[in-house]
Amino acid sequence: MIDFDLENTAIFQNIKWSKHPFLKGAHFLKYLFLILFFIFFALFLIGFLSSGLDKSSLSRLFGFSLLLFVLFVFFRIVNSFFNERIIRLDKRIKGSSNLAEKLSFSSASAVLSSIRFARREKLSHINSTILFYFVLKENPDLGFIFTRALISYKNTIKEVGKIIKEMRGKEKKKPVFSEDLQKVIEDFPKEKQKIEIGDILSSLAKFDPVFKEILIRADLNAKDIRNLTLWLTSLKKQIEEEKRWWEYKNLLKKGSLARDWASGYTINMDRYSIGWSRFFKKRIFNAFTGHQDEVRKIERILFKGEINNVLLVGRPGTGRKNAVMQFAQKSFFGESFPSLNYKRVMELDLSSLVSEIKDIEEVEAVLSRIFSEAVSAGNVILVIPEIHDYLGSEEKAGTIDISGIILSYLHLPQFQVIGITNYSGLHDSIEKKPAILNLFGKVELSEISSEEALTALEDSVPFLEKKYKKFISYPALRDIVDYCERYLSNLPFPKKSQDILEEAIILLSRTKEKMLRKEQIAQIVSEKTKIPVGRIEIKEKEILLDLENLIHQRIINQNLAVSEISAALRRARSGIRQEVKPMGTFLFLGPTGVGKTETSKALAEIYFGSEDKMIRFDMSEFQQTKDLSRLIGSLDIQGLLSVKTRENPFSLILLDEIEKAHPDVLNLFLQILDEGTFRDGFGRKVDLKNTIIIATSNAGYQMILDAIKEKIEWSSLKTRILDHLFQTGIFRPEFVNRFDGVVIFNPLSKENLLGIAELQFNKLKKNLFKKNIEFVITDPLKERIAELSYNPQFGAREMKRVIQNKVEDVLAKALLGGEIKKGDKIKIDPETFKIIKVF
Amino acid sequence: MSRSIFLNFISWYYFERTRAIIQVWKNFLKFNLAYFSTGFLLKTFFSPWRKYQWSYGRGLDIGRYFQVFTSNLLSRVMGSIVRFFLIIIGAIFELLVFLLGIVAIVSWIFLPVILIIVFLFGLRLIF
Repeated sequence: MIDFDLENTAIFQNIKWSKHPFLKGAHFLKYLFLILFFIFFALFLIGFLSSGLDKSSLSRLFGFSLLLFVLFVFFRIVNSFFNERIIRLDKRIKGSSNLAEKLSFSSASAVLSSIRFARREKLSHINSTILFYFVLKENPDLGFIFTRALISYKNTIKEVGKIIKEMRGKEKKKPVFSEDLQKVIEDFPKEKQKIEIGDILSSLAKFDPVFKEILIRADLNAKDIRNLTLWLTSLKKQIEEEKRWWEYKNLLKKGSLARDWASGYTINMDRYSIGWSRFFKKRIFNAFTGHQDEVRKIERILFKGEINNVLLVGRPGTGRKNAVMQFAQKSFFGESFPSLNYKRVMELDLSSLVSEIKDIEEVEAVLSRIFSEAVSAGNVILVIPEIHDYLGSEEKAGTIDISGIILSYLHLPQFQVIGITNYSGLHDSIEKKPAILNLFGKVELSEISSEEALTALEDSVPFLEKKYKKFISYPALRDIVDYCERYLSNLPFPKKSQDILEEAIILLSRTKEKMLRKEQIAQIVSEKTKIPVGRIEIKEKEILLDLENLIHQRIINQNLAVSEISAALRRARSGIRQEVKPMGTFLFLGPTGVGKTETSKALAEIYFGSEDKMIRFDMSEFQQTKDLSRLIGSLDIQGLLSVKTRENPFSLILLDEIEKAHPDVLNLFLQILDEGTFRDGFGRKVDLKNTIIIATSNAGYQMILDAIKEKIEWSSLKTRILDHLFQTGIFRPEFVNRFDGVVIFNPLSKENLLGIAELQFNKLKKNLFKKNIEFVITDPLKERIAELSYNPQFGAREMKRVIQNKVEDVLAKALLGGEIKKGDKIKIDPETFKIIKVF
Repeated sequence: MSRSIFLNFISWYYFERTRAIIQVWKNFLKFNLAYFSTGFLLKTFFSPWRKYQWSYGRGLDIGRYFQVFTSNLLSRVMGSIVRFFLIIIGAIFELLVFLLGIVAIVSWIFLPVILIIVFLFGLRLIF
């Protein structure tokens, strides 16, 4: 039994007081008396100025005005007392194990209302739905959460109200908490000092059956409610903080005078740089999400006496400039170290300097003047974006090598620089100049988490909504982050998510729709990534359900293989697969020419839309350890696998003749098959979670052929082949076990070859049909071709060549020689391979 | 109940609220100094105006030395004059804030009495 007794808490007394009409009505009364005061005072003034009233009437009007004003002030004080002392009680009984002691005023009030309701209705249990009702009813603020989640707040209250009003009981004893309500209470965050109404709502989303049902209908879950609650809390906090204008922190936002009187003028610097202080004055940037640790590191380095220049290293799009802005804002409001406060953080626009002045010597002279101005001003921190472009030994268009000039300033304590660069810039340019590198303190900027990215999106919502006059729903924001994480994993947060949001709202602004919904996001992400995200579209559903038949239109035989692959894909797309692995991983074993590659091609075409979506690797090219770098890349070369999969994250990877690859290469795939990711030569994560990986091998094919000859039972063959592969050391068990399926491809029988011949001839027929020539496929021709190309060792591989030699060549000659022309109907003699016209 | 809530009100009014008003007063006093950069101006009181300084150059040239010395001195004097005025303006505002704060605190403490007096006065005017 949980220890939860509301009546024995400090807040309980306050709730009772809050119900007192005198305190409850103070808010209304203060406004009432204020309005009345204005009316009476206005009447008095009119009477006084127009001399239309006698003295005693004027005196009475003034007397009323005074009384009303006193009453207004009185109720204003009472209302403040109610808000500050009664509602925001922070007095708690210390060391109490009573969980109710942690409840905030509104939380406790909702719980008390639930208890009273249960008593009134003589219910034996107080369940979570009753609490849910009172939480909603007593806290109109929560309307924000529901509106953003696209759930009607009013209808929800009505719906839940209807459910609880049907609850009737005859219990005379005190009602107890039901099991679901106990779970809700146990779920309250233990680490928090105060359980706010949002915490209760989040717990209710997990355990209350009615709320859960509502969320399922809206395609949401408890985590979404938690996120929305945090959003609401942060907004309320922001508004509350801004309201308290008398706080020192808020007063400081007014800025200060005369800070630069002791600093020199910076005429050249002002011309070629952008000062950020005006953004902060206009409050263009308010909240920054994430990177607090990195900002603290920047401050520590700039504060230090010796090396006081910062080199900020991070992937483009990780919010490098934002981190510097965050520091600049702290400095502007005097919230950093004393020696860093009120500095002018200036972004040096080197590209405009270089483009404006053509003569390099003159550029260097101006730059030198800018740097000396920065030194003499004594209050400047220069920000140089993409600093590696200006420290390179190679001359590139639009850049200049400033190493020589900057080196003579960097060691000066009055000269402070924040250089922004990326990893390749650091390795390729800056690390090659240790004299410069040593004068910088390095700060590495990591990517912000998906939770922080969501918060960043939420922070940008008010600005975007105001600008475009559209409403942005929470599911749209959630899906942006979700899709970015899943399908754009090669790009960093927060840029990728911000870009999608901006793109979506711009597109939306061109339509009449008023709201940004998740469907629009899915569409944008699908177009961007060529991945069919979102709800499985009807066409895709049809493909998935009919996958076996679709593949069989191209593949003869191999029923087992096809059905295993189809099942895996259905699992992947319906959302029940393990998200950490690729969509499907298969090892195809079988002799050459039985359709292993053809199956893969068919799958790429049917599922990913085109055969071009198949990334093929001949693994015999990766037989040495050094070949690994060709696959994943190194500092010198780009990796084939990493580049191709980054370009096409939704594709089929075919690893032909996997048994020929070096064990180190197999180890790489061991990780990929397990986790769906790997790190490339630059240490960047490459995501293969949206790929199907198929490895093919003809190792052990002889056993398959023997099995056919000796008519060994097919079901035991797979185990025998695998045993053989493990014993001979071709594959390790842990490698093979990581595949979703090991599929044995049957050798083709003559009947199968007839089918394949039909398929091949159909392609030919189609081509001829385009030329208005009808090609009749006859059974004897198919049989003859199958006979000529049958070879158990090479399967159907010979067939293409045979058809080319015997049929296509003949047709080509006839077409060129005018032997056959438009409108003809032809067939081929199976013995002589001559064209016969059919009439 | 009413007695206990009354005591609660008194403790809120005279302790919590008065303390909060004093805190706001302190914020304003501190902010005023920060706004007029008084501490910073005092620290840099004799610094040259906008770092205008001339170099004495190499070699001994009394005339040049005197000229540069005069210019540098002028720059410092000019700086200190401007700073002096701003410091004075800041100090006037600081005094104003100080006095307003005292008025606010005293008014707050006596507000209940003032309200009663005004209320009674109002009643007298009516009847």
